[in-house]
Amino acid sequence: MQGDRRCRVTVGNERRLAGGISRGRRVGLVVDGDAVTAFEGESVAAALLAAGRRGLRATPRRGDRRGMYCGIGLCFECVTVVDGQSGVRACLTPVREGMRIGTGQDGRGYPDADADAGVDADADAGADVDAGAGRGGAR
Amino acid sequence: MSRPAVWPLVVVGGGPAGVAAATEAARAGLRCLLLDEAPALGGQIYRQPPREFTVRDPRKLGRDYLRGRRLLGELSEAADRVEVRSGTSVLDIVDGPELVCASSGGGTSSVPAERVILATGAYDRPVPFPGWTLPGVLTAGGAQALVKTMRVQPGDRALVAGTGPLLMVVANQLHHAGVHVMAVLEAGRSAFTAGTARRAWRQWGLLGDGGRYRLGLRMAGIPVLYNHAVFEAHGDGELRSVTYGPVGAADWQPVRAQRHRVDVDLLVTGYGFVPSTELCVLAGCRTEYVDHLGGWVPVRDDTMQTTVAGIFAAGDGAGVAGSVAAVEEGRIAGITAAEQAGAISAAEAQRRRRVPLRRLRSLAGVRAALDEISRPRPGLCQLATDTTIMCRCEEVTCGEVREAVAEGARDLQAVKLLTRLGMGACQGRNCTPSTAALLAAETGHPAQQAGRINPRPPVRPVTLGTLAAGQEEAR
Repeated sequence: MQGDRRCRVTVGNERRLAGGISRGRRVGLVVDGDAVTAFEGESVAAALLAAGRRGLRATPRRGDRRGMYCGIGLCFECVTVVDGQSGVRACLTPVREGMRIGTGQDGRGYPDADADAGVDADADAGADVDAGAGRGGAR
Repeated sequence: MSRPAVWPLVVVGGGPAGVAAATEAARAGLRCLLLDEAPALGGQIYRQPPREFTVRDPRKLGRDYLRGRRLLGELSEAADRVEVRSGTSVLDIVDGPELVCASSGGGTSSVPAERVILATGAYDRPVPFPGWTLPGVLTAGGAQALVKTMRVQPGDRALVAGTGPLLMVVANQLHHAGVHVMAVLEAGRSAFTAGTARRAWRQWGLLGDGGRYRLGLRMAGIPVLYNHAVFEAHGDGELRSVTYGPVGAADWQPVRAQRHRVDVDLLVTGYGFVPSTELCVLAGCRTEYVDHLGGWVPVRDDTMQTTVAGIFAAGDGAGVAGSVAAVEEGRIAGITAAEQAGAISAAEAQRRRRVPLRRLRSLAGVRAALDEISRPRPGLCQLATDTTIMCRCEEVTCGEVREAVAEGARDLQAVKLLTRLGMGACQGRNCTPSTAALLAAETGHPAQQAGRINPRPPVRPVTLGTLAAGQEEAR
């Protein structure tokens, strides 16, 4: 293998490929309390990847970091807390101006809607529960 | 366009098979409804950039983009007879048939249909190995979605590993996206042998694609290592490096003594595809286990009809054969649905089916050759160690599955009851193919004896709020 090539370090927008397309309007997100810039049309997963954030949740049992895996909405590895609602697939969800995203950086997994430190305490009062997820409440 | 109370035809899935099916049915004069989950048609392979992006230079988006535009162009010529509902998931099929749908706008709806064509597609076959859950390990489809649709570079230094022609395609796409692709690891042997070339005779399109991608890698200086696989991914919270090495040519057993380690921040794995058959099963279609089609597939006749009257299945969701075959299967299903609805005569239907049937037959040879190279071998099960996660949702390890087998579990249902494997949000899509292979390796029985975990509606997760909104609507 050729290990002699220079490893390019990319930060921020350098992960976004130039040419071929022009992106939608610039929008601001709040990710784990930090301001992150994204573009309309991007998925939450793509926007966070472009911002250098690949870990999207912590697992409930071991607290392991997980990120986008299948990219087509089937594997549920990329579920984040969006605007207080847990279990939101980052790979399918388009970004919106002012969206607040929690990636379980405090070590808590996606069943806890309040894992997003940036969300007001009352914002998740109406958080919906996944039907069909088959996850029991007790563990 | 007024909506019929009962649709003569509903097509589920807006990929190559679904779009071709709707196009042919509409051409034959049949009114049809095309349901698709994504914001825009195209399926995974022809997925288009989001509406908010403006395409300035289509050539930069690659050949799949242009092919997708061509297929969708065909559909738009028949647009007056096709209603497209994007952003709509089908949750269930009940007797009738009647489809229960959820739309991104919220709420559920019920769509009665005289006929249904299921073109639900396939997903990357998950193959567990230590570290495969680290952020930075992506499926081939996931990496493609980021590059082709989102136009984001998924990493700086990458390994591409697995089996099948898609690896070369993805490696090329990553290279053009500025990723330094260290190598492509193909667990099987080279497809560029005299045997494959002979069987691919006259398949100029496929031969051209294969040659172009292989040449692209050569020009980029990306080595392709045959009979090699990834053994382990390393990193603390994120992927940092990968251990890889040779595998046995016959059984793909890892040869750990000859392992190497390389620093990468992106690992793309593609071990072929598994058909999405949940809706087929819920509709009551009989399924069978066919190794080279990706596992459990609906039983069909040569006009793509399943064992349930009025339910058709086409494309990779009915047996993985690639997008070229999917289009032809979709056409055949669409023509036959139109014939059954009385839109065209039996003789006319037969005439229209002739070309797609011939194309399907001529693809069979090269498919068989490629399938044989990429058939998952038992050695892949040896990659997982006792601490490797098998079920990503419920965090069930390979060791826990082996314990369940030691306690007497012989099929997936028993493993599920003992370990919670397959009970998470993905409904077992991620863990059942590899756990079935592990059961086969541990018990010595064929993989089909592991059975399957029965899909239950809703086959896509939906919030209680959405379900409640739907009920309100119905009241």
